[in-house]
Amino acid sequence: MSAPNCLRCLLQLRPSVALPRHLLVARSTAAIAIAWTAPFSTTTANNAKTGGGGSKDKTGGHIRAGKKIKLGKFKKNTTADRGKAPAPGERKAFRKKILLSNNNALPVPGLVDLTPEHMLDPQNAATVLSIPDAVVDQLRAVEAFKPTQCWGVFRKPSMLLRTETIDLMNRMKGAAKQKQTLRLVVTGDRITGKSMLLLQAMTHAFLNDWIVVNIPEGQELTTASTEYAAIPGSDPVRYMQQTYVLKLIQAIRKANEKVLSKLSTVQSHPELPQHIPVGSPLMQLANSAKEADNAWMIFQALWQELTARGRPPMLFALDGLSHIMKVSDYRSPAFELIHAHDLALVRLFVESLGGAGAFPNGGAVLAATSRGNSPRAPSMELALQQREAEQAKAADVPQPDPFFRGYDERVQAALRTVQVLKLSGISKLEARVLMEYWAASGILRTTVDESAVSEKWTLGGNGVVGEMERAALLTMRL
Amino acid sequence: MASTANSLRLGLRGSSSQIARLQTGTRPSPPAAVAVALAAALRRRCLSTMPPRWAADGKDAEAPGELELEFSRNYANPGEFLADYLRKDTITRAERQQAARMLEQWKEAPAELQGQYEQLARNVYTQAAPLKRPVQPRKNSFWNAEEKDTDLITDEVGEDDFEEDDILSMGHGKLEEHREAREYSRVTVWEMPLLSKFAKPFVPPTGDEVLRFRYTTYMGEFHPADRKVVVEFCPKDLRSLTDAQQLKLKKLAGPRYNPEKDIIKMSCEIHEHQAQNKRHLGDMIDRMIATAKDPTDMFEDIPLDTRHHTFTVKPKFPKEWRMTEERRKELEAIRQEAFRLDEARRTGGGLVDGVVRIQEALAAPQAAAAELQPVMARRGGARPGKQNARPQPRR
Amino acid sequence: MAALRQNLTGALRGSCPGARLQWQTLDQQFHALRLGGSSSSSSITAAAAKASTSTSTSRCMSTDAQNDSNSNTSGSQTEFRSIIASPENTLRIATHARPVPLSPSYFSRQPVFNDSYLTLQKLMRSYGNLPVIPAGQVERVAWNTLEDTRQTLGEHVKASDYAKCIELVKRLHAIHPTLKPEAVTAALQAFKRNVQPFSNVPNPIVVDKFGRALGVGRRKASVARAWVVEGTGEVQVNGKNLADAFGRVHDRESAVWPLRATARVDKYNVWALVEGGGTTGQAEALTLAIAKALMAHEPALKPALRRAGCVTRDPRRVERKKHGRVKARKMPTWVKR
Repeated sequence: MSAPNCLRCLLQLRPSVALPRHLLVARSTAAIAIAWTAPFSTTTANNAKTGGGGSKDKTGGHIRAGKKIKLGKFKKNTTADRGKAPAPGERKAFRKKILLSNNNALPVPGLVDLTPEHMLDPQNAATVLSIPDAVVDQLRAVEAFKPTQCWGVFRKPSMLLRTETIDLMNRMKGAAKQKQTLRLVVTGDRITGKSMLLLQAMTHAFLNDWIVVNIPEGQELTTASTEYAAIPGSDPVRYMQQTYVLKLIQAIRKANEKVLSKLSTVQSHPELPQHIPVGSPLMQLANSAKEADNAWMIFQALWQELTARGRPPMLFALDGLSHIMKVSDYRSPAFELIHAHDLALVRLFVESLGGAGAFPNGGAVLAATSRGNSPRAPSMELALQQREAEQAKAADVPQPDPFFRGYDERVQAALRTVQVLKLSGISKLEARVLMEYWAASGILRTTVDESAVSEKWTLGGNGVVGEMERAALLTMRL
Repeated sequence: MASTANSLRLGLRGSSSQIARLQTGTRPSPPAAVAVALAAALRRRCLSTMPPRWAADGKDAEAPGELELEFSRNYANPGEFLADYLRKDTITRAERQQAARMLEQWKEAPAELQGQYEQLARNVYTQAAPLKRPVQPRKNSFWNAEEKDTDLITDEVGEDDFEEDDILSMGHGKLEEHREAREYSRVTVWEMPLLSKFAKPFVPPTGDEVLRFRYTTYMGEFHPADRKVVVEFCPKDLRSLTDAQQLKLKKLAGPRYNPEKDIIKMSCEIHEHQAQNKRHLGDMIDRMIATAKDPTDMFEDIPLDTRHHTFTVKPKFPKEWRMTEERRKELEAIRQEAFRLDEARRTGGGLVDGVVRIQEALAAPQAAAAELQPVMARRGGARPGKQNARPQPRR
Repeated sequence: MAALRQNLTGALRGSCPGARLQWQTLDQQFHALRLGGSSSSSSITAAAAKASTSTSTSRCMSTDAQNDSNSNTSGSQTEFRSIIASPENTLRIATHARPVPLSPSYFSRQPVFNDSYLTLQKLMRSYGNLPVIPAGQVERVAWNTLEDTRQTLGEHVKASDYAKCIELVKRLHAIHPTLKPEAVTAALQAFKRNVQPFSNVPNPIVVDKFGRALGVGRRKASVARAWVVEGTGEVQVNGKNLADAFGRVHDRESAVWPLRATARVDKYNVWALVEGGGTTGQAEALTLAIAKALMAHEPALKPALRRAGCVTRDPRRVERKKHGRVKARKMPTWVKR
C-alpha cells in the first residue's frame, strides 16, 4: 500500500536547510504579486490559491493524492472567483438607476427650457426643448422617468414636442379651464413613446402648478409585491396597500410641495389619529403619514382635501394599464383571487378613469398601456379598440367574440367612456429635429440631412421613436 | 396387365361418373346389394357429378339411404367397387355378367399393380381434399387484402431452368413493353375517337340547381372511399329562405359552415353505395331547410359560431402607393420640400453634423473644457498635441 | 467534292477492276481526290470501262456505280450500253464482295474528325476572305469541348488538333452574319453543344402599369418577393413595418441595404412578402429581391449594387450531416476504451 502523501512533499512542508535559497525568495515575491492588483481593474485578480495542496506550482509543491474516482470529469470547474457579490438590493438599485444627465455629452446650443406656453403652441411642434431643473426634480419625485429611457447619454433632460403632445396638452388645458376631467388612455405599438407622453403631460401639469399623482407602474399594485389588508367595515370587502400608499403620499408631498404649501385644509378629519384642525396647511396633513399603519386613512383625507372645491386642477396618471385590468395576484382570506378593482387604490384610479369620481376642479386622468410588460387583458384590448373605432367614426366597431369566456364586465364598464390616443411613428420632420438634437449632443456621428433622416426613419419602422433610437444610437436596449 | 387396364376403361365408359369412384370403396360387400347398386348407377346421367334429385316415390323410399351410403364410401381399388356393385340387386343380368368378369380380371391382376392402383387412389384423394374445400370469403377485411391473387400462383419447380430454346426474360419484358405500348396506341387510334360520341356540351347550373356534388372514383378499383359523396352549397342560393332562416341554417350546419366563403360543405360515407350516400345528403339538406323554416325556435339567442374557422388576412399592396399622375406630383412636392429644407439648412448654417460637432468641442479653448468638466490627470503626462483633449470614456 | 467522293467509292465498290487489274493505292485515290472532279471520275471510269471491255471478269455488285458513271461520263455510257446489249458476256455474279470504305480517312486514326476538319479547311479556303464582325459582337456560342468530342465520336482526338479545329470554327463563326454562307452554318452546327447556356437568359424584370417592379430573392431557405415602387421610404414586409418584421437592427439594415448602398432609401417604397427560413435568411433574401427590382427601375445601378454585394445570390445552404459524425464536420470525441 502506498502512502497518501509522497515523501518528497512531506520534506518540503518544513522549511529546512535542504530547501534552496532562491526558492524561498521566489515564494516571497509571489506573495507580493498576489497583494498587487492592477489599478484599473474593478475585480480582484484571480490568483492561484496558496497553501492549498494539489496544484503544481513553480515552487515544486507536489502532493500525491491517492487515486480518486472523479465523476463528471469532462465538466469544467465553473465556480470561478467572481469577486465580491453585490449586497442585497444592490442589483435592483443598479437596474432601477436613472441617470438624467451626462457631463461627457456636448451641451446643445440654443436649447431652451420649457415654459407653460411652449407646450400649447402648435408652432412648437417638432422642436426639442429641455425640462427645467425644478420640474426635473418633481418628475423624479413622482418616478416619471423610466430606467428604459436613455436620458443618461444627454447633457440635460430634453424632449421632443410631437404634434400629439401639443394636441394632448391643449386638451388638458381645455378640460382644466372648463373644470372637467380629461379621461384618456394612451395606446400604441412598442416603444412609440407612450410613457414619454405621460411624462410630458406631467411636465405640463407641474409647469402649470397642477397637483400630480402618479402611479409609475400598475404592476406594483397587483403582483402581490406589497402588503395589503382588508379595509375594516367595507362591504363588499376592499383592500388597502398601506406601504405603497405611504410611499405614494411621500411622493405626492415631495413633488407637489410648491402647491401644497399654499393650501390648507377645509375639512376636519376626526378619524385620523393625529388631530388636524381645519385651516392647517396641507403639508402638515401629508407629513402626518409617518408609518404604514394609518397611511390609507391619511391618503383618503388628503384625497378629500385635494378634490375639494377651489383647489388647483389635478393630474392622475398611471402606466401599465393592463396590470390593473385583470384579476390580481392577491388572495382574500378565503384564498380566492382578488380582482384588481377591489384594491382600494386601484379602484380610486379606475373610478376616476371611468368617470365616477370626477375632479371638481378639473384635470386629467391619464393611463398608458404597455407593450413590453403586459399581461393579456382581452376586455381592455377590445374596449380600447371599440373606443378607437368610435372616435374614428368607423363603419364597423369591433364586437366581442360571443364564444370567448375571458372577458371581464368590470373592465368593460370602467373603459366605456374613455378617450383613446393611439401613438405611432413620428413624422420625418420630427425625426429630423430629434436627430439634429442627437448629433448636436455628439452621439450621432453623421450629417443630419434628409437622406440620413429618411434612412433612420425607415430603419425605425416608419418612425417608431424607440426603434430609431436603437438604429441610430446603437443602444443596447432590446 | 394392359388388358386389365383396358377392360377397366371399357367397363367404366358406360357410367363415367363412376370412374372416380372406381378407385374408391373399401369394404367387401354382400352379393345381395349388387343389384341395387347397379340400378342406382343406371339412374344417374353419365356426365353428372351430383346425384340427380328424383321425385319422391313410394317405391324408391329405401333408395336414398342406399345412395348416401354409396357416396359416403371411399373405395380403395376397383375390386372393392365392383364387389360392391355386384352386391346390388337393381342391375341387369348383362351388367352383372360384365361386372363379374371385370372383377375376375381385377383379381387376376398382379398384386403389384393392385398396390399401385390403391396408392394412386390414396394420393388423388389426399391431394384433392383441400381443393374440394369451399372457400369462405372473409368478413371485415380491408380492401380484400387477404384475397389470394390466383394469377401469381405458379408451379415454381423448374421455372428458372433455361432450356436454350427461348429469348431471355429481359427480352420477354421488352416485348411485353412493346405489346403494351401498341395496345395503348390501338386504343388511342381506334377507341378514343369513339368517346367523342359521348361528349356533352357544358350547361351551367341554373339558379335552381344550388347543390354541388362531388364523387370519387378509383377507376373500377375497389376502395373504401369511393362511396363518399360531398355536397356544397351556399345558403344565399336558397331563395325560399329569409335572412333569419338562412342564419338559422348556418347555425344548424355548425362547423360545416365556412364563414369566409359563405359555403356549407357536408359529406356522407355511412352507406355502402354512392347513391345511398347522396340520397342521405339530400334528405339531410331537406330536413335542415325544413328546420330552418320552422319558426318555433329561431336560435336568436345563439350567436353564429365560427370558432372552427381560422380567418386569414392577406396583406395587400397599398393602393395609395400606386403610381398615378397625382401620386407622381405628390412625390415631386415631397422631394422638393425635402430639398428645400436641406438647402435652407446648408446655406443658413443650420445643418448639424455630429462629427463636426465633436471636433469643435474637442478643439474648444481650455477654459471651456475645464468648465465642462474637471480635468483628470492622465497617465504619462499630457502630450503637447492633445492638451485640450478630453479623457477617453471608460470602456 | 462529296459527290465526287461518292462517285469514286461507288465506282470502286461496284465495278472494281478484276484480279488482273492492279488496285489503286490509297495515295492514288487521294491524288485523284485532290485533282478536279471531272478528271478523276473520268480516269477511274475509263479504267472501269477498259476493264469491262477488255475482260469478262468485271464485277457487278451494285448498279448505282454504273449509273453514276453513266450519268457522269460518255465513256461509261457506252460501256453501259454494251453491258445492256450483251448482258451474258459482261454481267456475272460476283464470286466474292469486298466492301470499300466511304471515307478516304477510313484508315486514319480519327476518320470522322479528320473528315470534318478537312471540310472546315476547305470552307476556310473558300470563305476565309469574307468580312468578320468584331470579337465583342460575335454571338456567344458554347462549342463542344475536347472531352465531349472524344465521347461522341468515339475517337481519340488529339488535343492540339482539336484546338486548331476549334480555332477554325471560331474564325468561321466570326464571319458577318448577313454574309455567312449556308454551308458554313451547317458545318458549324456539328460543333455546337446541344445545350446552349448562353441562350438561357432570364426574362427581364419590368415596371408594371402601377409603377411597381417585382423582384424575387432567395437566401438559405427563404424566398422574398419585393414590389419596389417610387415613394418616400416606407417599407412593409408581410403587411408589417420593418421594425415589426425584423427585431434585429442588423436584419433591417440588410433588408434595405440595396437602397442604402445607392442612397435611394427616401426615393422608393417597398412592399414585400417573405416566407421560409429564419430572420437572417428572410432579411438577406429581401436584399436580393429589392436589388433586382431596383435594377428594373434604374438599370445603371447594377455596378454599384454589385459592389455592394446585392446582385449575386448567396448559394450557401446548411451542410448536410454525415454518418459517423456528430454534425456536418464534428467528429465524435475520442474515448479511451
